[in-house]
Amino acid sequence: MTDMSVGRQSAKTKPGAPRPRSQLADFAAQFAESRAAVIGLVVLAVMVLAAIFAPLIAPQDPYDLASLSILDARLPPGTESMNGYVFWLGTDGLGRDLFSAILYGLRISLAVGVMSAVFALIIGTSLGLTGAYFGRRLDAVIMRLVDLQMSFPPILVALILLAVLGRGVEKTMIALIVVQWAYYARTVRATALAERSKEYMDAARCLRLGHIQILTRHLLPNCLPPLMVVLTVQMAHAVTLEATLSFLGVGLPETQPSLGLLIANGFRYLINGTYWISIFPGIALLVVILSINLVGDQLRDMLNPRLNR
Amino acid sequence: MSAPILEIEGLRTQFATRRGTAHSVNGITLSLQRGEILGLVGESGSGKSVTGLSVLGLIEPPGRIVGGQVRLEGVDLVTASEPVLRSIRGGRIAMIFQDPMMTLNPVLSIETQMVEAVRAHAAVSRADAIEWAAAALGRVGIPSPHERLKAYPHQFSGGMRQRVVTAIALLHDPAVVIADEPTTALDVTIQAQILALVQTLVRESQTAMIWISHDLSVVSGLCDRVAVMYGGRIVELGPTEDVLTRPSHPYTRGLIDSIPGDAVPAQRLRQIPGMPPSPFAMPAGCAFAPRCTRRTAECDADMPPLATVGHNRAARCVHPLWATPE
Amino acid sequence: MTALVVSRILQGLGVMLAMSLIVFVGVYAIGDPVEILINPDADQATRAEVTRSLGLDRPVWEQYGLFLFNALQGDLGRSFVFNMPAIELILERMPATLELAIAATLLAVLLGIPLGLVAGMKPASRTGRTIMAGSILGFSLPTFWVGLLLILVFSIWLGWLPSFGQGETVDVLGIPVSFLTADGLAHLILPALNLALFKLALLIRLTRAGVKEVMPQDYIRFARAKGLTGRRIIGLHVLKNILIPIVTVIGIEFGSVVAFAVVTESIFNWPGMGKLIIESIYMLDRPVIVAYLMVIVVLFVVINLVVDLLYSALDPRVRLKAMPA
Repeated sequence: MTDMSVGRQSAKTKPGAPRPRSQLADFAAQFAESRAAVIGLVVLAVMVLAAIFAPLIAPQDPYDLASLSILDARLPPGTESMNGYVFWLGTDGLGRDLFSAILYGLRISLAVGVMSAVFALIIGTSLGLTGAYFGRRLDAVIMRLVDLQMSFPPILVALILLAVLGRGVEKTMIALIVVQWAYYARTVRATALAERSKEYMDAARCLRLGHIQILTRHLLPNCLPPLMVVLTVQMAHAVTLEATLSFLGVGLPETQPSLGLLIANGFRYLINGTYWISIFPGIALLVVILSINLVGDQLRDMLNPRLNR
Repeated sequence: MSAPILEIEGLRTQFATRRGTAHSVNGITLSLQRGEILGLVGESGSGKSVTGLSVLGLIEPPGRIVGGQVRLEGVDLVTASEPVLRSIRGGRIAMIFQDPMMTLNPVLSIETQMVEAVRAHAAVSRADAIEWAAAALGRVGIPSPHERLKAYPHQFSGGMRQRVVTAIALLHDPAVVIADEPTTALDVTIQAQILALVQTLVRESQTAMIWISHDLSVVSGLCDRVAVMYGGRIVELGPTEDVLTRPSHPYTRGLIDSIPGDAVPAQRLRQIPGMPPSPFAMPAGCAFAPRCTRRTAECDADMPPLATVGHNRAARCVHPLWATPE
Repeated sequence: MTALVVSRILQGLGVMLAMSLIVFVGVYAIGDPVEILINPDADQATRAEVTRSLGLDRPVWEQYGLFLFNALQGDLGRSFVFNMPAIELILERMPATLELAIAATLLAVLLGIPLGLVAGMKPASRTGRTIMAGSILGFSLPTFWVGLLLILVFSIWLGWLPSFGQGETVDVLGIPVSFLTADGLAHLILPALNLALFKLALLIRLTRAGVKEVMPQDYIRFARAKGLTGRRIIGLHVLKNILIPIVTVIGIEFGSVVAFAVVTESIFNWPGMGKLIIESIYMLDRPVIVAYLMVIVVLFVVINLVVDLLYSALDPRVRLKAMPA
């Protein structure tokens, strides 16, 4: 039974594959066909590790105000501080080492982006699956909500929500989840509807398996490939959106300076040519988003030929 | 015989793909007289469509004509510049494609598509071009042509669309028409209508035509001569009647035997065993040898030449089924 | 055609009704409307006055009716920062946003479609690959950061273009516009480019995908066999076929351009309604937020309607299906 349902799409081997390999190895080999995607994955892994181990890597704790000296403020990249330490990426307006600030900012940005994407995945998938499985009224209501949600640009919905809710980590995450869940719901529903009509579903029903069992053991695994694609794309969107909202001053609070906030802080110094405070965090942000997109592009090509454009 | 209108000599077309080079057309030599209808027959993949496209220089990358000449009234088209080719396409040589559903642009009106074809080769006003187009539609049997010009392709049936396509092809009284299986995609009754129409129009105007088909029964009623293609080469060439009644090449024999119409009822249709050769790996000798019952060691050694086997007849076979000693 | 228009307008009204309900629930039922709709510094008497005028002592459905009634008359509350009707304030700022959004869309179309055509015609060439790499980069670049880069490079380092405000404007039919003066145009370039970037990347991809789909079609081959020039084939036969999805996307995305103008306007100090909404959020000027929301909903409904009509104008198959047989 499980064999019939799991990995229906990913199990398709390409013609001309030398010999049958394990699914995972096959998947990896196919992924590796795009060099850009592999580079993206490696860079992304490095960034994620750097974010996780930021407190160990960063030369300075940017939030330990006692260690900051206003005399170090706005030093250009490569300047040596009074105690002999070199600020490779310069310092910000408070005299913080920018490299350390970026590492910590990356940590916050990734945490918020990834967590909200995962929450949205869980909520959207549950709603989409339930709708597709039980159909009729519930499905209609959920899909109307999806349509309504998707007819407005995410930035707008998030902005309005935060305008009503106020700034904050949880509030920003709520806003990000609200603007993302519909994409998962729509994807899952489309796949689940196609799966539902297949024979093995009838078989599962004949075996009198419970609703929950059919949903999680049989429908869900088949929805995973397209969901993975949406998840990567949405993670990039979530990170960008959080950075944008924080830049506008409606997202994360000053106490949790994500990359967006770092860039915003540098904006006011930009006019007199102090470029590094804004530019370096921006480059870090760009590299994260670009590497996620490169991985996502390849995943989409592999797993979801219908979306391929 | 007068000077041929179209001469193809040693034409070779290849496609560079990821799997290697596909040798689609491997040296075709043909000539077409004024007003003559020539059938170009073969299985799918035999290179007959590619030959048709090569004549008009319509091969697109990764495809490329790698050798040979195509001479229209003595002028080589393979080496001709794009503007020269453009003036010939739709002017001196016209083409009709297989599927009328796909040949007309779905988002442009018939008028737009005909007027642009008229004005591509004649300096006339828009109004005159419309009259020209309407007259052409009338000639192919489309009622109230002025009204129908305003319509879009999806408002026509398949047969009607093929009439429109035929009208477009004949707009400028071309010297040569290349018809690539224009009736294959149609219902049998419609097929007969289109066939009759094309035949009448071409005969009337003394237009030469290459009729590309896999269907020998269509060719037998329509064509003066027939060229049988296999593996990108002509394997047999001669007057239709002679070739179909006394085939010389075993492949031609096989094709004839697989026509359902000629078979004895209740007897199993004969078919040629095996598969056509891959264009990526053409055998050095006769391409048909692996499927041939008359195969000998000699067949696999070298490519047999296209040798004369009778009056106006030639075949590319070491052991021809039929040949008159000359 | 008329039936189509009427049905789409009715659908639009439905969406607007749904949105008004959501706004009502969000502002009136969840929050305290008195808190939301009046100045926090207002005295007790004003509060009582507002409470009465909003009918907060009445049943909920009656309150919603009153909200709708007021909204239909254009009364969405007063801005307590500017002390004028919120809706007037929004409408006053709208032309600047629309000018910026239209300029950005034009820029994206004028650059994106030709680049996409090139990338689609020659996908394996160096130019084609470069264009595609550029479009992936365009997707990944955060809009606001690109805005900063543009200011840094073109305003601060090179000193070529201004980066602040709308510049000199002239009134056209009573609406101030920038693009008709040299100074205004100079001010428009950077923000429009910034706003266009993401859509540019999108249009390149969309056009390329369309070209790759249309080019191998038989009707393109037949068009070549008719002896048409390459320019005519690409400019009419290919373009008209891919234009249908492209116009739809441009239309749908126009709304998101207006929404993203919030970011660009804040960076370039462009005096549109996006900058206004951000300021209103800082100042807690909630009537303006409510008014902005309602105006945006109307704008989206109008945009969707226009897209539908354009779509049917372009595709004969849709156009004829919509007509009674």
